[in-house]
Amino acid sequence: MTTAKQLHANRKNAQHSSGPKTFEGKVQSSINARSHGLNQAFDLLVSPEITVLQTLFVSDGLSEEAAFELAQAHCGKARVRRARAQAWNELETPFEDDPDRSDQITLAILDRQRRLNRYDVKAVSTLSKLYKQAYSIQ
Amino acid sequence: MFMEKTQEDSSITKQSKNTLALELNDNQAELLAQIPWFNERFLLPGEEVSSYDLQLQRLIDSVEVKDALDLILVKDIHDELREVQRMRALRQSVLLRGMEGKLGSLLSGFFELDDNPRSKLAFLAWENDPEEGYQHISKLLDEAEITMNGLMAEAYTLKANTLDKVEQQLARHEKNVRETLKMIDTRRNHALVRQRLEFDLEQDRQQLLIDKNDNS
Repeated sequence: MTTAKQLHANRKNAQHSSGPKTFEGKVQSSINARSHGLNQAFDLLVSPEITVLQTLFVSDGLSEEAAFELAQAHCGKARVRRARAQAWNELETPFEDDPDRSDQITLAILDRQRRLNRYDVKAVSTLSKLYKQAYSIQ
Repeated sequence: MFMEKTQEDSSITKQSKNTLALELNDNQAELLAQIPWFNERFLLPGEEVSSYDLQLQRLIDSVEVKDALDLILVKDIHDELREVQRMRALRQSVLLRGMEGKLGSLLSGFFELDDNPRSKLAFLAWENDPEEGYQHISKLLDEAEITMNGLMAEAYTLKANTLDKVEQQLARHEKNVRETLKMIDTRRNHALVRQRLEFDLEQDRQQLLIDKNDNS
């Protein structure tokens, strides 16, 4: 059972950690959970290409539903591709004169690329599964 | 094919656009133009647009792209192959740095120096002119009493951790290429079976008509 004294102390302490106060702080914390967005669901307003791809798959003889799933999966793969390109571009080239510096950059590149592998695996296996389902020969 | 036009577009790029225009109908080309990531070249600083387009065109020719969906998958394979190339270049540079460092330390052992810059100079010469550089390196290898293969093995040991990580990334991208090729095959096999079924049905229909005519 929380005593009145503890309750008062908790409330007082909470005042010291009640989140960001400044505008910049609030903006930063609002995107904390979205550092790369590779797990986010697709929004048709933001990604209208899903509808375009769906049209292409429908014209290939697939149902609306199967076409939509495949379109989404393709966009997911493209999202990982873009993240990979970004990861490369954020670092300078590893082919420079200082070998120690080059080694550091190489390891940093590999580390960033490795972190994206799980999203890549997921995207490719989803695509692969959907292609097999949609174009199965019955 | 690509919507953005840059000044670096070469005649090969233009040729690739013309070839693709022949392959795709207007509707499909129009739809593809609306897919942002399809029209994006994922290039690193120093990589050329013309080289990207030339490699893509070669891939399109070898896979014999039939339609827009084929093209999307082929572009994906192409981007994966670019990653493979980058990883191979990274592996090469790590290995060369390892060899250079190992040779430098071996020579330093003979002359009791902390650092021997001759190995660095020899490897730099190798980069500029492989033949001349190789002669420099051979001399240093004789001094250090080691063979090129031995040096390479030492470098592998020295950089094993980094090289292992590069290999893992290479394997990832190579697997992606294989999986995407399978997707193209799955689509094509499906289309082939569909065509064959339609052909068989048509033949049955014609046979029925012939039988009816014969009976009447």
